Amino acid sequence: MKKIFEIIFNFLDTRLGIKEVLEKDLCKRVPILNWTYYFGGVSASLFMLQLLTGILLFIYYQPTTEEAYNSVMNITSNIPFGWLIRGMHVWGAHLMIVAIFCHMSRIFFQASYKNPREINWMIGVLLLLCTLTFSFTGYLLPWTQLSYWATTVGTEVPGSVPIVGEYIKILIRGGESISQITLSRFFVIHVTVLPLVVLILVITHLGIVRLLGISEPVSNLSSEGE
Amino acid sequence: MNNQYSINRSRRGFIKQLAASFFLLGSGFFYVLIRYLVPVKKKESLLADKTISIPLSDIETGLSQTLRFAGKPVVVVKVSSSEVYAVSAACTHLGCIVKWNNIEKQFICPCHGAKFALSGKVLDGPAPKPLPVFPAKVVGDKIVIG
Repeated sequence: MKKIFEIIFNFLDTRLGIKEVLEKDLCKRVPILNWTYYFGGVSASLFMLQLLTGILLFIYYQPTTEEAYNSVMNITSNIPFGWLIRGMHVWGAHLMIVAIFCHMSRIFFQASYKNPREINWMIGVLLLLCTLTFSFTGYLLPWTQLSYWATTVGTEVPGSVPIVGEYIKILIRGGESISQITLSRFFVIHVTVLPLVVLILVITHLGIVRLLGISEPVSNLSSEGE
Repeated sequence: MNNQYSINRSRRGFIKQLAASFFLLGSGFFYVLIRYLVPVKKKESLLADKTISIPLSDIETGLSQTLRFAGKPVVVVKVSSSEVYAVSAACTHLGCIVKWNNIEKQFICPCHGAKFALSGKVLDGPAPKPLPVFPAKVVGDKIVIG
């Protein structure tokens, strides 16, 4: 077993030089931090969970006004463990908002957003907006009375903007009222546009953290000098 | 330096524990995944494959009888000794059991007054969809539904 592992490792190492990369990453000094630093990782993990459960729901969900509600009911009551997958997706979405809020609060109250980390703060704000759009579009997909009227109210809000409001409302709805066109739009945004955008933003976000290092608390920095 | 987070276990032991817990979690999730993906035979379709039959003499001509078919209530109407109809008895408005009215020759829902034709078509009232119709025919001295 050990021998097979060694052969595979050596095969990859001679071609890709992974030993150097792994050593650099595994022997990196990890600062000792308290639990308030975990919320970014929690948000990222929840996002991965959303991707996984979302793909599974996609297998049985049908994005038409005729079938949307029936297919969601089918997932919840007929498909084995469908209730679990759907429940994980719903609760994961709720918890993701909570985790992101905690993550942002920690950054804000410890002033970690300051120079040189302003770009990452801005990317973080974009990620928050994307997550909220995820929630808004995902809410319509079961096509229940609740989702229908929530989307009606939600799209009325930009409609109240002077002059351009009415155009924005029609653009989001794809017409005067919530219809199949709206469902299709929200579905496409929810399952293709946003996952791609968020994935790219998260990779950039984490890349910058690796580049600049974690913003350690002042107490950590002073104890190191002793 | 006084380190309150001192490490008591070996790196190897920690990795072993981590691998074991990932294996447990992974196999649990794998089971859920397989069960989720393997297609299931619907209970309804299993029941719908069967047919039920009742004696023709059980229903008087012009009257109806409500019975259970494929787990759902069905109202059977005997128009004549050779002409029978089977229609879902659950009103499409809020699910009350519709009644056959022989004088008006239509199904009337006692809850909100929705009216349906023998073909299940909505004639009046708040019902949004027609009643689903089931095949029914007279075979010998029996009414066969399904």
